[in-house]
Amino acid sequence: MLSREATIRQILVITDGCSNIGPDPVEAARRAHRHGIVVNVIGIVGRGDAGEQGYNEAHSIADAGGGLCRIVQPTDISATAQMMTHQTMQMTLQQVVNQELLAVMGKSTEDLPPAERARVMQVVEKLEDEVALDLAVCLDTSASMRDKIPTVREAVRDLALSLKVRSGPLAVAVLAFPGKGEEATRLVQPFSSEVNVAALEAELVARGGTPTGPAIDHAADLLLSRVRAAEEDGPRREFG
Amino acid sequence: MTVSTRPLAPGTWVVGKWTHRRWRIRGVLGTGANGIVYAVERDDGLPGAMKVCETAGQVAFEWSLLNLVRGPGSPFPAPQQIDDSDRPGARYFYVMERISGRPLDKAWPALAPAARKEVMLRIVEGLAALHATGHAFCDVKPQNVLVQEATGQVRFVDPGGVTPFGKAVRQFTPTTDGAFFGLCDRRASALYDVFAVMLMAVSLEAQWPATLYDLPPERRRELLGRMVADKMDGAWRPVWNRVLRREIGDAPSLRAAIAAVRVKDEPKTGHRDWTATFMWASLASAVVSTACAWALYLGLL
Repeated sequence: MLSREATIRQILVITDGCSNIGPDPVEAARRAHRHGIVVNVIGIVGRGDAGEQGYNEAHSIADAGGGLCRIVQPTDISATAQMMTHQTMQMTLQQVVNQELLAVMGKSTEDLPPAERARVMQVVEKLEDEVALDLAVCLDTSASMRDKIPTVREAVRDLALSLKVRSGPLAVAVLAFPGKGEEATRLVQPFSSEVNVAALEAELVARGGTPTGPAIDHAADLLLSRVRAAEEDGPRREFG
Repeated sequence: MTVSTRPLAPGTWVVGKWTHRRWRIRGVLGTGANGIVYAVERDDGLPGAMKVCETAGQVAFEWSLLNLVRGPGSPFPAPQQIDDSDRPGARYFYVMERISGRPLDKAWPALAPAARKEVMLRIVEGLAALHATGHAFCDVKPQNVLVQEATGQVRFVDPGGVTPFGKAVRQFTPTTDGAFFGLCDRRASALYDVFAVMLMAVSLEAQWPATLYDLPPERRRELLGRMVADKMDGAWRPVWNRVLRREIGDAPSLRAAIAAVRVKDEPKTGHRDWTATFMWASLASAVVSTACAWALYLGLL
C-alpha cells in the first residue's frame, strides 16, 4: 500500500516570538512542504509580550507547511508536541490511504458509510505505529526564551519518550536558533533514535535574535539529505 | 489546517445524512484535544452527547473504540449513532449516551472519607473490566471520571485514549502519566493505568509545584515520593507506596489494596483491628502495673 521506503518527515518549531533574522519562515515552510515535509509550530505564550504578530506568523508557518499550530502555556508543550505529531502523522497517512482508495474504488474515506470508515482508520492507526518517522525539532533559543529553556528541553526529551515506543524506526534531530556566535542555526543533535539530553543541557543557551526562516531551511536540508542517503543505500527494509 | 470554529448555538438542528435522524443542540459539554462535545436531544426525545471532530477519520476511529468497550456494565458511554451532516461545525460526528454526574476533581472535596474509598474502588473495578478485554484506558484523570453523587456510581468519558496493551499511548496528560514521572514507559498496560490512578489520587490532594515541568523524570519521581509521604492521608499512604514500589501491577491487586484501607467514618465490619486491641491491652497492663507499684509503695499490699 505504502511505498517500501515510506518515511514520514516532520519539522517541529517551538518558538515564543516573531522571526527577525534571515529569509521569511513562511516561504521556508512552503519550500519544505513542497518536498513532502510537514511543518508543525508550537507558539509559547510569553509573559507580558503582546505577541499577536508572533501568533499570526506561527499560524502562517503551519498553514504553509501543511501542519498544525497551537499556542500554549510552557507547561503544555510536552502533551501538545505529542498530540500534534500524532495528528499530523495520521493526516499524512490518511491522505495516502485516501489516494489508494480513490485509485482502487473511486471513493474517498468520506464517501464510505460512517461505520465502514472505522476499518480504514484501523489501517491508518497500524501504519502510524509502523511507519518510519524522521523528526527535526527547531528550538527557539533567542534571549526571550531564557527562563523557558529547561521546560522546552524536558518537553523534547518527553516527546522522544512518546515516539520511541512505536514499532517503527525513529530518528530525531534537534536544532537551536540562533546558534553560537555568528551562526543563525546550530545542530545540537544529529539524527539519532534517542535524544541526547546532556547535549541539550550543554548547548541550549538563550541569546540573540530569532532566525526562524534559516532554522526551517536547515531542518529541511537535513531531512532531505537523509532521503538522498537512503536512496544511495537502496530501498529501506520492507515495510510492515 | 488551523481551524477556529465557533461552537454551534443551542437550538440548532443537525440533520444526519445517513440515518436521516435529527438532533437538537442543547449546549456545550466540553472541548477536547480533537473536538467538541455537545449535549443533544434526538428528534424522538432521546438525550445524548454529540462528539464533533474536524475529520471523518477521527470520528470513525473513536466510534470504533466506543464499540470496542461497549457492553452491559461498561464504564464508558454507550454508542448511539455515527453520521455526517451538511452543517458547518458538525460535518462529522457521533452520538453517545449522555452521562450525568460531576467530574471527580469537582466532586472530591465534598466526599466523605468512606465515599472517597467507594469511588476509588468503582474506578479500579471499571479499569479491571476494561483490562480484561486487553485494553488500557491510558487517560485516567479526574476530568474523565464522572461521579453520580446520589448513587456513588462512577463512569468514564472520552474513550479516545483506549489502546490495546503493548501499543504506544496516543494522548496523555503529564500529571497523570507514569512516563512523565519516570515510573514506566508510555505504552498501554495495566500498570500504566495503575500508576495513573495513584497520580490522580495525588493530584486530588495536593498541588504540583510550577517547577515540575523543568525537572528531569528522575527528579519528578523523587518529588512524587515526597508528595505521597507528606500530603497523602495516612490510611492511604501504604497503598500508594506499594504502587510506587511496583508491588501492585494490575487493577485487581490495586482493588484488593484499596478495599483493605481503613477509613475513619466507615461502618464497623466483622473483624476488629488487631492494632487497636493491642493498644488497649498495653494501656490496661500499664494501668495495672502502675496501680500495683503505688499499692506496694504505700504499703497496702
